[in-house]
Amino acid sequence: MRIFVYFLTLIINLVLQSTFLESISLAGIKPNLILTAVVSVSCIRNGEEGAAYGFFAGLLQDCFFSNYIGCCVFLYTFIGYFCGAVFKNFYRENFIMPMGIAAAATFVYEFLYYIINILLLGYTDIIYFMCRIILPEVVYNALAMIIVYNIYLKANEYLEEREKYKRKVF
Amino acid sequence: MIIFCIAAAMLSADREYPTFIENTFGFIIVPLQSLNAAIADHIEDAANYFKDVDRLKEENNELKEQLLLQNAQLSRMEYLKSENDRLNALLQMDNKYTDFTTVSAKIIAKDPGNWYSNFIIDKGSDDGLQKNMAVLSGDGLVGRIKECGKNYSKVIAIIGDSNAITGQSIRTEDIGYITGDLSDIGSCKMEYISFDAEIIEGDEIVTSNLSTIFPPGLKIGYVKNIHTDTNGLTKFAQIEPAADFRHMENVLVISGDFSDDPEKDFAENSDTQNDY
Repeated sequence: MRIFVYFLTLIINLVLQSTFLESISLAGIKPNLILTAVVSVSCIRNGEEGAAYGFFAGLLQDCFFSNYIGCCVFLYTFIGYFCGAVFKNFYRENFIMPMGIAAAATFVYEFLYYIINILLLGYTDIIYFMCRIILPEVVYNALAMIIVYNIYLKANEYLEEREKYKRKVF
Repeated sequence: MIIFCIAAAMLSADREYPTFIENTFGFIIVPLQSLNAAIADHIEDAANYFKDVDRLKEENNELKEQLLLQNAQLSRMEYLKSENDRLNALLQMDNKYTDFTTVSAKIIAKDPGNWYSNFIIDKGSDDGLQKNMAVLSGDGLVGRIKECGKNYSKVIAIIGDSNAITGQSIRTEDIGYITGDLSDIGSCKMEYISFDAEIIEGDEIVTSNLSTIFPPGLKIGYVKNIHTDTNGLTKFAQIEPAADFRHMENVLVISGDFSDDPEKDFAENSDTQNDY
């Protein structure tokens, strides 16, 4: 059940990210739903599950949109694992902490993406990229995280309820 | 994990066809994306329906006038073409501007990230598309097909493409190599223009006949500004693309072989000689 729901959310995320989000972009910057989903899963469950979710999310995104496979796979897995490790000692009903973590994760993701894909092509003007893309997306993602995190929290409550019931039966 | 990612990157960087698994995902995701795009279009249409009636009437009249004009021009063009053919036959020149077939496609998804402007169109190898075909919008060149699945194709836009296109200025026929310019997102740069080229701001840049994948004469954009390279031997120019990458819905894919293959030229030459 959980795996099926995860798979469904992955596909919904990818489809929404590549179609509807274009129309709510501000100054050409759109939030990254897939990243917020990976952070949500790893905050709500744990690092290992977040890493697995990130792995498949990255694979799906890379297959469809990237110039080569591997970059997003690595970054999402990395972020999924470390967000879970950071969030281990906090209550997951608290909304402020996930927002902060999403902001930090977006910064790390975009910065590493810049180093892997853009810097090696010879574009060294990091201040321009910071102001143009990275910082606006950090803010936008932190705001999008409030909605996404709530949805995932509700979905997780429902799933855990079902799993508990199952364990009693057997 | 890291080794896996690096290996995947190296293996997938420059392949001919997407794998079976990617194609399978294509079958799941592409219909969803087309549905989504269609829903978004429908909502927009419904919202604009009443607002647009007056404007449409006006536009309709304008377009009718334009159509008349264009038809007149077209018939003139036909005449010029036939004259051109006759003169070419006289000179026994090969016809460089060969006809090409076009396939129209709809954009169903755009790149999830903010760095590049790649997108997915809803036609694939089933409709006869192949890797490296040129993609156009109504305004100008958009990009080329990077990867061709069964029912989808991944298009890489010229503003993010690190592979060079040979372009030339229409006015002076100066040649340069055009790549995407990421240091000013949304524009291209034209490099290695010779130092004594008389290219100026506002010149129109089109694809040149040196390219093997793009047909000659497709509009790319206009020169925004020109600088001299630090070595003092060449110039580079910033190009404002003619195509509007933010608001595109439909694109045309051009298929045809434009490489300067001597054998093919020879065959065509002998054909034309037989014709006349």
